[in-house]
Amino acid sequence: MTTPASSITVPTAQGAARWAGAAQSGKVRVEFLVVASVALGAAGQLVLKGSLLLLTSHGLGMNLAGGPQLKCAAGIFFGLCIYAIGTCFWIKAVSRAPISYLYPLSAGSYALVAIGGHVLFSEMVHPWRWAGIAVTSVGVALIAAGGERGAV
Amino acid sequence: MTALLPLLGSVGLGAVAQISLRYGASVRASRPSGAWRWTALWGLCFAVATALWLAALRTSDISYAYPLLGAGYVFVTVLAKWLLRERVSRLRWVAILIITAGVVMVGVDR
Repeated sequence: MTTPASSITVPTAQGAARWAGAAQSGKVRVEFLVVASVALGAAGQLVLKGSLLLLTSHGLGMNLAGGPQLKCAAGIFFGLCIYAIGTCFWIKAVSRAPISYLYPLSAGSYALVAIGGHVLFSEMVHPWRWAGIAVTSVGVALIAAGGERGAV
Repeated sequence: MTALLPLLGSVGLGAVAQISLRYGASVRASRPSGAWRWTALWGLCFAVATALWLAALRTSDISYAYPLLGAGYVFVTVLAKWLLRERVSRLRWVAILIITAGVVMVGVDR
């Protein structure tokens, strides 16, 4: 999940040359930052959900020293940390490239989280929900196209 | 419905947090000593919004709850226009409408 998309583009000599050129101009690095930010953000959310499922499956007892509650708290902390690291990557990316270029890439997080929910937690995602996620992602990608200062 | 209320609260407070941060930044430029209140409001709203998000996530699918966070773009844009008097282009309003449609589509899928 955290594999940078840019690593797929290197297999040929031509690709390597493009990679070098882009790396020099800083383009690849920005794309890597966004992909890492999206992947870490989605992973953080999925860790949060997985941790909260521990409470759901064991009930909400008051015994905080008990296993599930402690694991849940640790998981939530871990999930928030992953999310925070993803946010740092995003801030770094925003400082290096126009937001109109970055937003469309970041819109993939909705699909990524839904796929994670389906694969990891066996959530039933109906076609209508997929359609809603796709429409939301298109809207988010379009946000930055609506002006120079896209930081909404 | 039980998850929708905390979700709505989380999105709404998250939007207020963003507006506070933005307004605090503009206050800081003209009067540095007055900015801490807005930063404090941002911190408070952000913390409560996170707690509400966790409450919502506990009882609902993440593939349902997470896309609904997209409503934050709508709230922030409307608040920025209304309170901060920011200019919002027509194309961005179109994007906000599309996001609203997507969020509603996910929201009714229960």
